[in-house]
Amino acid sequence: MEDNQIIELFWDRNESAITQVALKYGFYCHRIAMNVLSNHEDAEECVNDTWLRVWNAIPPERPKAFRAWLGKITLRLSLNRWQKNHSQKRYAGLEVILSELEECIPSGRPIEEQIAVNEITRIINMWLGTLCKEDRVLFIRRYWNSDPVKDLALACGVSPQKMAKRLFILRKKLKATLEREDIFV
Amino acid sequence: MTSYSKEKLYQSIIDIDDKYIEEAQETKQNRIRAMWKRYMAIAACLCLAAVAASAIFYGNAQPMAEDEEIYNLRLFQNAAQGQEAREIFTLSYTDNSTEIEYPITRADGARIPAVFVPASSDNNSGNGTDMTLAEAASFAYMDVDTAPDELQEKILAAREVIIYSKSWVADGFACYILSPDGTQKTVPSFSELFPGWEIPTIDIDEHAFTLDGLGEHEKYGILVAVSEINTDYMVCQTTSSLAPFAAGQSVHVYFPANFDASCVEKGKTMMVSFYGKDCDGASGTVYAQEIWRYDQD
Repeated sequence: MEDNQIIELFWDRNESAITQVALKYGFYCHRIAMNVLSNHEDAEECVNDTWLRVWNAIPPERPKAFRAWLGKITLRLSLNRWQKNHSQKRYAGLEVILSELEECIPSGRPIEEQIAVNEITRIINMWLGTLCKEDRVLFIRRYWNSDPVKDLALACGVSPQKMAKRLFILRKKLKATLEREDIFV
Repeated sequence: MTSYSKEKLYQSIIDIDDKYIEEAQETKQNRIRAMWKRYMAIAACLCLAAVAASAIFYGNAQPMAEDEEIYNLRLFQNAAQGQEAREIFTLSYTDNSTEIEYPITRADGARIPAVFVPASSDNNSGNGTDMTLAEAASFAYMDVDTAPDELQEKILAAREVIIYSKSWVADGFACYILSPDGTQKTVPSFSELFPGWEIPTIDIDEHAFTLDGLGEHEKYGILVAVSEINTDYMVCQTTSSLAPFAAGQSVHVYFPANFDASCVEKGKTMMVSFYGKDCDGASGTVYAQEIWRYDQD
């Protein structure tokens, strides 16, 4: 079923909308949550919460990029769950991603004192636009999809070590951009 | 650095522009399809790299989506009278815009496609000329034997365009394609479609296949379980199959130059990459190009 047909079902308050969205994007959302939480039960609950959130959001919303929009909801819910539980549970997925992202943060005062999330997003969007498509896709697959390094390596036909090095260079570039934009001033 | 800073940066990444997210998801799908195409083009029904890729993309991380339409292709080699046909190649694929070619070596040593299925969305792809189908049709059916020399070349080029625009199976083989809607199509034989025409041969230099069926300069991957570690090689059992190696076969994998073998442990699964020219199926020897831990998460 096409995305706009699924969205119409939500607008019509037709409960089969949940079945259809789960059929089409259930695995996609589960993988996103699983990559963050590395726990099937928690990932499953996040996905179910996603459908509820979508049910409550449409209407009035009419997302243009439905898949990306769903992924963002799943990611935010996964992050919330991680924040709530990570002192009791070890969620290996996001721990690794965050430790890598730490390298992108300019030294000096912590980000939260300086700048709003949407401003950082604006800078990251701008930076992504300067990258070649392959680097941009790699960055998003690693830090948005949280795809494992070895999967990215296999997809590009290189060893995981080479892929890790390439991601390291990308993180350094992002750090340089954040510094250049004076986001900590 | 506080944990909050990292989370804030992560939140910022979550909210990046939808167009970049879509681009990454699309590229991911295309890359998987491109990998399929590559594996098919190198007769990859038994290619370990494909098996490894399948294990990762379709097993652990990304199985075929439930709504994807799956085609099944089965290729049989006709047997002598009174014997059953032998199935030599099966392929499940989700993208019928992908070209499929399964090369075999004929008795005279020439390499020919046993089956060819063109990309449905681009029927002229791969013909290597700018000739359209309509143009080709006006030359292809002329009598090549009586045509002047300069025209002969054009007729043969036109025939190639026509040949690579249709699905066909070499004589002596049978092929069936089961479509997602449940219909089964029998792929016509080459001589039935193109009576009197020569079946195209595959350029050996281009594909450079070894006797083992692997491309000399193609890179392959094989998953192995380590059973013994020596100074410059390890003894392993393959955990996936790639002709000429069968799953479970004992192989000697020689380390690449300057390889740090400390990452190799007995009982662990390793991914070994190598070029087709650097393996010997008969003795079970592989000279690795790269080796890495496969179960290191």
